[in-house]
Amino acid sequence: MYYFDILRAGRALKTYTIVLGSILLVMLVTTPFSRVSHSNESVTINGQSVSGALRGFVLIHQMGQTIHIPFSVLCAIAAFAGILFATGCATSLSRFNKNLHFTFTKPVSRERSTLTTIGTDALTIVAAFAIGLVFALAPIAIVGLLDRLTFDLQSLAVLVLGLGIAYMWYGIVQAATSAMRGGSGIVLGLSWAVFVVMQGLQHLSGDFVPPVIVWIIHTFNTINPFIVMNQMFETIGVADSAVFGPPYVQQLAVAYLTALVGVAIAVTLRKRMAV
Amino acid sequence: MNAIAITNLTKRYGAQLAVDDLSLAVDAGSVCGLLGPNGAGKSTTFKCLLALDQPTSGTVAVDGAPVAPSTFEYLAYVPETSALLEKYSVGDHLEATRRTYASFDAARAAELAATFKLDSKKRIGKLSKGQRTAVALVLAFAIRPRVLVLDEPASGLDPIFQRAVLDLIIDAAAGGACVLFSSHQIGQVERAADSIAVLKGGKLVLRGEIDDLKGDEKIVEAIFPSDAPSPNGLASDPRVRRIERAGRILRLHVRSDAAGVAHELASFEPRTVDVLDLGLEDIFLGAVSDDAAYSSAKDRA
Repeated sequence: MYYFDILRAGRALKTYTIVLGSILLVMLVTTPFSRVSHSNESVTINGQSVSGALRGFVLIHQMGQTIHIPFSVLCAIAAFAGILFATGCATSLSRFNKNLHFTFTKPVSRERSTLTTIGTDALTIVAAFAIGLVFALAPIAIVGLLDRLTFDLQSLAVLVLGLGIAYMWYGIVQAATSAMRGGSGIVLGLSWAVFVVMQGLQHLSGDFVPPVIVWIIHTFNTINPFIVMNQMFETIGVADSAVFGPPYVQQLAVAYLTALVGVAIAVTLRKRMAV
Repeated sequence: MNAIAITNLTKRYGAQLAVDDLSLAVDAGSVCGLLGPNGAGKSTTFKCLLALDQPTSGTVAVDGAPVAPSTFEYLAYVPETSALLEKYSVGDHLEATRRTYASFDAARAAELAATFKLDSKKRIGKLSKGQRTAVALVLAFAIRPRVLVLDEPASGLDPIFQRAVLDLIIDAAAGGACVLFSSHQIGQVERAADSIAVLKGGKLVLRGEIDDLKGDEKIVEAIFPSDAPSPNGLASDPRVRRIERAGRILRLHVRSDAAGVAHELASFEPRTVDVLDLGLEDIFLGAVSDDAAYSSAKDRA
């Protein structure tokens, strides 16, 4: 199945690139005109007055000279897009379950076949992060503000935790769907709904509901990607000395351990599956 | 050594007994047709044989060893319904198989794809049922397997391609491969198989070489103007092994002196009386039928 995993990963990354490219294109078309409409300032290049989108780009460039752009912000954007991509990959095992008569009658063990699919997904998610970063950098490069980028320690923290969140969500959905022959898309959709709702309930007070409910919500939310994502975004504003502090390390450990447990469950379920 | 050895295989799904104490061995260089009505346990037997499902009890061995991933280096399987990946092309499947098997024979794959008129660029999802079966067959035969397990291998194929599949099976066995295949087309089994195993309700009810099973037995078939009469006298005749009555048709399975039995049957004034060679279909129906219309006489064999 390795060959099909490679083909599948290639197709997924192609679609992802097209989606991000489309968003970038829309942004490049609309943003300069939006900037133009907010300014009466005239712009000249080599003594000649320019208008339209070019004027907008120059205005943005001029505005950008007064600010610093933390690289960690771009990393967070890339990580968020990568996490969305990872959820799309998370039903890959289930989607192959219609083909088990084909897959499980090859000279490859079920464990190896499953881990090959998961391993390919893991690398594809890293590639999605990289592509996301390229697309986050692209508009800054286009308006000539790359020199305004400031590289910080938080960037690494955001990327590592972002990848952990992506793997965590991926692992949870794989564990829930790896043995399903259909309906995995519904489980994936439900995971979004459940995680959003549980995040909303995070601040529910014990004054209104029984403490045990609060405890259940808080316990569940330790593996809620949206809660861990908050930690990721908060990392951007943390001082360098506190970036890799205990809260960060704890969330990082939870993310990667949850991912590993999810993968282990998925492999076990596939090994025991009756076809 | 048997290439395939199934010993006392039993498979239960809850209270339902799908396969009941089945023992079956198939030698290298031979073709065994697995027959049975729908729900007889053929597909479950295949699943247990291929380790796709765990037997409730009993053992399965291929080339003397339990089935493991390495078994599939030389065992090819074609399932009854397509398990190919619909979003990928015929060529993708060939490439995936080439990368998986050291024994993949690209020239043979191309030759087989041409035989079945397959377009390597076409996606599986765009193919007909028969074409999908053909792709699965190409992938199976292209690795030159020593053991072939084929579940309805000619399903959905036109008569020309069906003949090609049977030729492939016969050719593989002639080259030393062991072939176990199921089919509802008795004619296909009769043409390709050396032996048959008949399942009914999960139990093996008949096993043997086709030539041995046919023996010297003949069928005396009489067609009457109205419902066939009960052939009193012939029912206890030692020459007659079995009597079947279906509407206006009366069939007598005769061990010897078919001409004499036909002569005696003529006294019941049928419209026609014919002496026919015993076919595999007759053997199969005799083994699985418990329909009163088909077996009004008891099998005294």
